[in-house]
This record gives sequence, C-alpha cells and structure tokens, in this order.
Amino acid sequence: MKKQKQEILSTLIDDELTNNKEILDNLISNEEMKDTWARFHLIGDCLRGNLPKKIDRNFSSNLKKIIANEPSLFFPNKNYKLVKEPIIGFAIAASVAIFAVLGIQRADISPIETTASTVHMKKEIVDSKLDTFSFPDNYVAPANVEEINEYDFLSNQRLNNYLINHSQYRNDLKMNTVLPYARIVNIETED
Amino acid sequence: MNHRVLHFIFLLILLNSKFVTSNELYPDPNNLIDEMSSATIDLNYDGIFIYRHDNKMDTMRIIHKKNMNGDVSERLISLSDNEREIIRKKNTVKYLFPDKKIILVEEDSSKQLIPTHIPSQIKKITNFYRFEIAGNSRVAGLDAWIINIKPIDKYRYGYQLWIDKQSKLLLKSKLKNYQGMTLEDVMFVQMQVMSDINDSLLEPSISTEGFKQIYHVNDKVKVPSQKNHKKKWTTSWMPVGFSMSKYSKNPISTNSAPVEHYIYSDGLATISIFVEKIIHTNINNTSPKITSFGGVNTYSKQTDGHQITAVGEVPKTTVKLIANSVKASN
Amino acid sequence: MAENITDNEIIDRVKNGDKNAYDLLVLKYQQRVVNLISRFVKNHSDALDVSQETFIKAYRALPNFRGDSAFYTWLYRIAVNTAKNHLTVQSRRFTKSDYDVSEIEQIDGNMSLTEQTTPENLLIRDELQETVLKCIENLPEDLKSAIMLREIDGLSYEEIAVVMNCPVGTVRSRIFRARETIDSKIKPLLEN
Repeated sequence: MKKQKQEILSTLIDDELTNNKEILDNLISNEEMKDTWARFHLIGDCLRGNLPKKIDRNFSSNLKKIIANEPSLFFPNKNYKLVKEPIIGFAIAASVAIFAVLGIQRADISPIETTASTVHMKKEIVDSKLDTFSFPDNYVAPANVEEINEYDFLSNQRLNNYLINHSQYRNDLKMNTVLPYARIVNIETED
Repeated sequence: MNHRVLHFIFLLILLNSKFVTSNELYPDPNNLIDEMSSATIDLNYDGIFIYRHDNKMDTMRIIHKKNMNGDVSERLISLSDNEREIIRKKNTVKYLFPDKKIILVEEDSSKQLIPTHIPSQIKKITNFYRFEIAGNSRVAGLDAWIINIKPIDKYRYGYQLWIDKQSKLLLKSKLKNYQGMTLEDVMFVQMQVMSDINDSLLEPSISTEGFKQIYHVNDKVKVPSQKNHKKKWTTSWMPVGFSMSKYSKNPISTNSAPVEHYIYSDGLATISIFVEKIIHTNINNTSPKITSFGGVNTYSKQTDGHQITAVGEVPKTTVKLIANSVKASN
Repeated sequence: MAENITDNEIIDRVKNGDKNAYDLLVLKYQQRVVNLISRFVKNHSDALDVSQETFIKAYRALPNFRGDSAFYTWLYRIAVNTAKNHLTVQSRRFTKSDYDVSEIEQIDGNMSLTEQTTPENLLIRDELQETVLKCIENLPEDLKSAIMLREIDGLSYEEIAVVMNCPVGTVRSRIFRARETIDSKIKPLLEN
C-alpha cells in the first residue's frame, strides 16, 4: 500500500497524473510522504547538478515555523490560466513565422525536401518552452549519465567511421572548427 | 496631473538612458557570433585547450593558419594519452594514429565548393535559437563576452560561448542540454593570435616511417538539388528547421558495404543519417541501439535490409525519432 | 509543460488558506533556490537567510501569481532580486564593493572559495552526489535509462516509452523503482 502510494507520488512529481486531488490531500497531511516528496525532488536536483555545495537539513522545517506565523491567504479565485492552450496558439504563430522566413532564407541552399512534417507539428509546439531553458552551473555529465555504452561504442568501427564523417561535415559548416576535430582525435580505431 | 506627466517623462528618460548604456556595454550577440565564425577561419593562432566529455578530459593544441592565397591549414595535436594528430591542408585531411601506425588521408575535391563563410547562416539560426549576451568573464587571461544560445525546443541542444573581446576567437564553449546540464565543453587555457605562423609548425612532429597509408578520395559529395537527385530514402520526421544540406555516397573509406550519407542542419546543429546495406558479415548486432560520445548521440536500427544510423549533437530522442522515421521511398 | 499542473494545483490550495501545502513548494524548490542564491551570496549562512527571505516573500506575493509563467520562473525572479538587494545593502555597509551584479549572475555555482566549518545539520553535496551516482551506476540498465531520460533529458513518460520501446505503465514503474532504490541510499544521509 505504501509502495503503491509512493509510486503515485513519483508519477505526480513527473506531472503525469490525471487526477491529483486525492494524492495531494494525502501528501499535505502526511509527514512521511512529504519527506519522500522532498527526497525524490532532491534526487532530480542532484542529477541535474542543481544542488548547493552544502545542504541544510533543517531549512524547510525552519521556514515552516516562520510561515506558521504568517496570515493564511484567502484568494480562492483561480486567476492563473491553464497555460497549455494559449501557448499552443502562440507557438503555431511562431512556427508559421519560422516557415515564412525560412522560405526566403534558404535561397542559398536548395533543400531536397521541406522538413518538419506538419504531422508532428502539434507535438513540436507543445514542447516549445522558451522560458524554461537555463544554464544553472558548470556541472559536467558524469560517465553513464548519458547512457554511454563505452565498450560497444569504442569497439564499433562502423560507428567510429560514421562519427568521423559526421564530424567532418559539421566542420564544413564552419560554425565551430575546433570541436569536431577534437572528437576525431579521441576516437578509438581498430586494427 | 502635471506631476504624473513629469514622473512619466522622467521614467522614460531613465529607461532610455539605461537602454543606451546597456547597448554600449553589450555588443549584438548575432554580430558577435558572425565575427567569431570569420575570426576562427581568418586569423592565425596557436592555442591549447581542454576538451571535457563523459568524465574524460583531453588536452589538445590547435595551430591555425590562413595562407596569403586564402587557403587554410590546421593542425590539431592530442597532448594527452595518445600522440594523435590531425593535419588539414586545403582539401586534404591527414589523420595520424601512431599507436596503430596508420595515416588516414582523405581528399575532398568538393571542399572548395563549400563557401568558407555563410553570412546568411546566422539569420537562419536565430529562428531556432535565441542569442543573448550573458555577461563577461576571463578565459586564458583574455577578456571574453559570454553568449547563451538557447534552443527553441527540446529537440536540440543549447550552447554557451565565451568569445574573446579583442580577437573574437572562441575561447570556451559548453554544449548544454535542455535542463542546462553541460554535456561537453572546450576551454582554451592558452591562446596566442599571431601575425604569421611558421609552416614547420604545421608539419607532424611524429615520424611517420613505416606507417600504413590509407587513401580515400571523396568526390561524390554534392549540394543536393531537387532536379538531379532522386533520393532512395526519406524521413517523415525532422525537428523544425532542419533541412538537408548535403548528400554523399560511399563516404567511408574503410567500409566495404555501400553507404549513403544524408546531412541535415538547422544552421547550428548537424544531423547525419547513414544508410548502409546489410551484408551478412558487416553488421552483427540487430537490436536498435543508442550510444553517446560527449554531446553526440547516435541511434541505429534496421529497416528494409539496411542499417539506419542517425548521428548528431542533438538529444537522444531526436536521433531516435529521426532514425525511426526513415523509410525507403518508392 | 511539466511541473505546471501539480504546482498550480498546490498554489491553488495555498491561496485557499492551506499553509501546509506551501511546504510542498519549499521542499520541492529549496535546493534550486539555495543553489541559485549561492551564486550571488558567497557566505553560506547568508545565502540560507536570503533563501528563507525569498520563500517568505513568495508566500506573501502568491496572490499576485497568475500562472502566466511557471512557478519556478516567478520564484527565480524573486530570488534574484532578493539576492541583489542583499548585495546592495552589503556593499553600502562595507564601504566599497567591486561586485558587478551582472557579472556575478553568470558565475558558476560552485566557485565559492571559502570553506566553512560544517555544523551537524549540513550535508555536503559531494557526499550526496557520490552516493546517488554510485547507486545509479549499479541500477539495472532499464531503470537507469528511464530515470535519466526523465530527470536529465526531461522527457515525458510517453516520449520515454517511444525511446525505450515499452508501454507507458512500464516507464512509470521503472522510474519509481529507480527513485525508490536511490531513496533507500540517501535517506540515512539526510536523517543523520
């Protein structure tokens, strides 16, 4: 039962629940669940390199005491918008603009096909979150974070060849001349 | 009433003056990127940088020279572990692998067809990335502007660039995923811009006696055009803004099976699609696979008797979705 | 779109007088806020004070939160302003400071040079990070991939299901099992 609740909590954290009400009621009144909620979020912050150098175990409990002395809010009107719809509208407009500009822009490169099929446009649009991209710190992905299968990769001559070729063409685009070759220098070869 | 008007005017002046100062302080990021891409090609320089990826760190030296006739020569030397070198002169690229006693020589007659600098590129990029000056800092003892390049969606990565205020050379760069986590970074610890570079610096320091030379002349690369090219393979999905910029057949020197190489770009990120016919000996593993190398992800799968591999400095989802959408066209 | 629905639901409750619900937002965002503020305010205990002030200000200002942006974006702005105010007050107090706020803003988080003594209630990040990473490395491949795609690549369950070629229900349980395993390792550290 506890496990089941925790799994629902995990789903709630990922914003993948259709009905939040019951689990939220539960969560607010149950200290143990709250702790789990905090730790599950802590795991995410840790993986994304969002942790401060020192973590104060008492931060939230101290704050809770202060908030307890604050007056309760009473603004029951839901005055926030459910953001999904307006963003879709905005993004459609933005995409149309992008296509319009591209039509003129691409005079120098004649494309073989027009990309970005309209079938997938809706998905693309929902994912266009302009304001959430951030550069929090200089955390470099530790090994395995990006699902590296090093053995497979290094021993795979074909993939290495692909990578060399890919890097060369990237180099042709002249946006960044050093990095693509840096990758090549590091590629393992087979006899 | 008067008081409010005055207040408003005062506010306007204040805002305006702030705007002017910030304009003076901060250059236009688009111009800066443009200047950077020409400086990278046009200047003579010798620098040492650290390349970090997947928990590994490599130190490399780059020597770059633009000759009087406009040709570019470059030499990249690995200073850590393997003594590897890559030397590029005009259209010839030599890869020296002393540990394997191999020199791979690639000649590409089409390289001269490719313009060295495309000013319109930057305009295209701004449709899919947002550019902003994030501040300034010092790298390798030089003052640098920091530029954030943020993607418009989750299908591409972002960049953070440190550009030398004086020479406009790139001093540091970070490839970032959507959450802002660094996937790989390059940082110069030493950078010298020079009026001229002695040609001896562009010769290999390793003796190549007894090395096996593998030659490969690649003359089939072309900029595609709708008329003369009938593509055998099509993709039904690509992130917005990626268009096919090149196509080549048999680009790979050491492969026996025929390979087709499609190259897509949104102006900043590049995605390659390789289509290789499966001959029973060349491919053993049949299950789809994702692999990563720093910021480059690859996804391989089999379809219609061919191995399809998407490679790019884009998130795993992007390479996977693209590879899965590749089909033989009728 | 992630985070918005649950956050808005919680905010709604706080606005309806449920102060306990605010706790959830604090627990969720505390690390990010302290980390952000630490980039401006180098002294750790000052950074904690400023973070606390941020959450109090946010609570008081919550009636003005309209959901036009994500809650964290809104909180981020409050945090940055609070930190900048703190620095301004500081620089007035100590004759002349050569801090340039715009410059500090881009400095990476873990650049603090002064190491302070660690009281009982402080847990060092590196210790936690090491535990988490070690645990992740030992996870079965499918659990590892699922949690990484979610937490690092920020993919939705549906997208992960496509990438991993499995049903959405499996994604949900893999992510949970990964979290549960890591949780069992970090719990003792946090309770110390």
